[in-house]
Amino acid sequence: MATAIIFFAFSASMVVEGGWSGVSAEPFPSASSSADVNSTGPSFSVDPDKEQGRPGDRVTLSFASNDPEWVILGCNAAFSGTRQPCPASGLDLAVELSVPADARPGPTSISWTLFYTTAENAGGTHDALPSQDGITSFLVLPPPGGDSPGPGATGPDGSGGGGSASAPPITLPPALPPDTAPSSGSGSLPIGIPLIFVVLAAAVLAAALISRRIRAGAVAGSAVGAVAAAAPPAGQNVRVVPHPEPGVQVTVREAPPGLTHVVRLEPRTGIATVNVQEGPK
Amino acid sequence: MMSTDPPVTACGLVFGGPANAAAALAQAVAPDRVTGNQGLRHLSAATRDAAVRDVSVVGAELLDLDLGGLLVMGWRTYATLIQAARRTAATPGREEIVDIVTHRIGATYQPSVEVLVDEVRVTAVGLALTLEFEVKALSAVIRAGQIVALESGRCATRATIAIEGVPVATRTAEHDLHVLIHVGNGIPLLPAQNPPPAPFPTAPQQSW
Repeated sequence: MATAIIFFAFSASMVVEGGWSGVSAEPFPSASSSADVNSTGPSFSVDPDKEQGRPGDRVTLSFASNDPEWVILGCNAAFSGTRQPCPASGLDLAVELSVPADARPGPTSISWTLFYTTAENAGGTHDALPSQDGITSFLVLPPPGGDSPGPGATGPDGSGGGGSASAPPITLPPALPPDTAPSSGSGSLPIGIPLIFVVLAAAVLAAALISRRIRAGAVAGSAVGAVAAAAPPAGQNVRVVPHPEPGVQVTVREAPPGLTHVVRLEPRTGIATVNVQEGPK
Repeated sequence: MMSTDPPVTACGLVFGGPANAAAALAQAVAPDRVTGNQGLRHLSAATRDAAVRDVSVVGAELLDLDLGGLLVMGWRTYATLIQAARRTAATPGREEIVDIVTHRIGATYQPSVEVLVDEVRVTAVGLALTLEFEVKALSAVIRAGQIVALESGRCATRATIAIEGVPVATRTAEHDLHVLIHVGNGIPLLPAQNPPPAPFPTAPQQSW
C-alpha cells in the first residue's frame, strides 16, 4: 500500500504542476523495469570518489542523473546509522562521509537514498517526491600496521550487493521502489500544497487512471492489482558460475638456433664431474 | 632459496592487482563495449550491473593464475629436465645441475563464466589468457626427481587477456626466476603415480 501512496502522490504532483499530460502506467521510475531505462524511468549514477579507505577517511559520494529529463532534488547516505543529507547545490549532489572508526576491514557498503522529479517540475513546490534507495560497495582497509583484509566475500551470488576486495564500486539501486514514502515535511524538501489536497487529487487521478486501464483491458482484477501492475518487476537473482578450463594447455619449445641446452651432471661426490652438451634435436 | 613474497599472478602482471583486474574486466564485459557481451544487453540495468560485476570478479579470479606454477607445468614436459629427474629419482643421493640456455613455454587458458538470472542461463562470457615465457640461462639443481634449487635464470613473460576473443590487455615483464618460483622443499617433476623407470645408464657413460 505504501507503494501505491508514492505513486498517487507523485502522479498528483505532476497534475498540480501542470507539467505532465498523458500520464501512463509507467511513470514509476525503476532501473530494472526495462533494458531501455530511458524510456521507462530515470537512471542515476551514485559513485564514491574512492573505492577503499581506512577508518576515519573521508569519502565523497556523488549523485548524478543520467537523464536530463530527471533531476535529483535531495539525497542522503551513510555507512551505517544516521544518514548524512546532501547539501543542496546544483543538479548533481554529493555527500561527504567518514569511514566509521570501528569499521572492520573488508567489504562493506554505503546505503543511500535520492529524491528526484522531472526537470520541468524541478523548480516547483513538492510535497512528496519519489525516491530511490541503493547501496554502493566499499572496501575498508585495515589501519596502518593492522591485518590485511581477508579475501573478497563475493561469491557467485550477486544478489547481495556486497562487493569483494577486488570488486569495483558498483551501485545497485533496488529493483523495487522503497516501501515507504518520504515524508512530506522531512529534510530540505520544501512544502508546497497541503498534504490533504495532494492525497485527494491523487485519489481522483488514480481512480480515473485505474478506470481507464480497466476499460482498456490492460488490467484484470482489482484496483490494487492495477497499481501493482504499474510497479517495476521484482528484483532478479543474478548468479554467475565459473567454468574453469579443465587444464591449462602448456607447450615447451626449444630455443631455435644453435646450441639449445647444456646438461651438466655433477654427482657432487667429489669424484667425477661430467659435462654433456646436446645439440638441437 | 626461500621466499615469502606473494606469487606473481597473471592478473597481477597485467593489471597490477585483483581490484584493477575486476574493474578492467567490468569495463570490457559491459554490453556497450565492443568486447561486451551482447547477451547482457537485454537485462534490466540493475540486473545487468550485478551480472557485470560478478562476471568481472569471478573472471579475475579465474585468470589469476600463478605464473610460477605454469612454468613448472611446462618443465614437467621438458625432456631434458624430466630425464634428469628420472635419473636422480632412480639413484638416491644423485644430484644433477641442468643448465638450459633458453627455452620458451607457452600457456593458454580459456575459462568462461556463465550468467544465470533467476536460475535461467542468459549467456556465457568467454575469457582467455595467453602466456609466453622465455626462460634464459636456467640452472636448476635436481635431486630425487625434484627441482631443489634454482641457481640462476630469468624469465621474460608476455601475458594477454582476451574477452570474447578480443584482446583487452597485454603486458610484458621480466623477472628473476626466484621471484616467480618458490622452490621450497622441492618441486616434483615426475608424476607421483608413475614410478620412475628403470635406472638410466650411469652418467659417465654419456658423452658428447
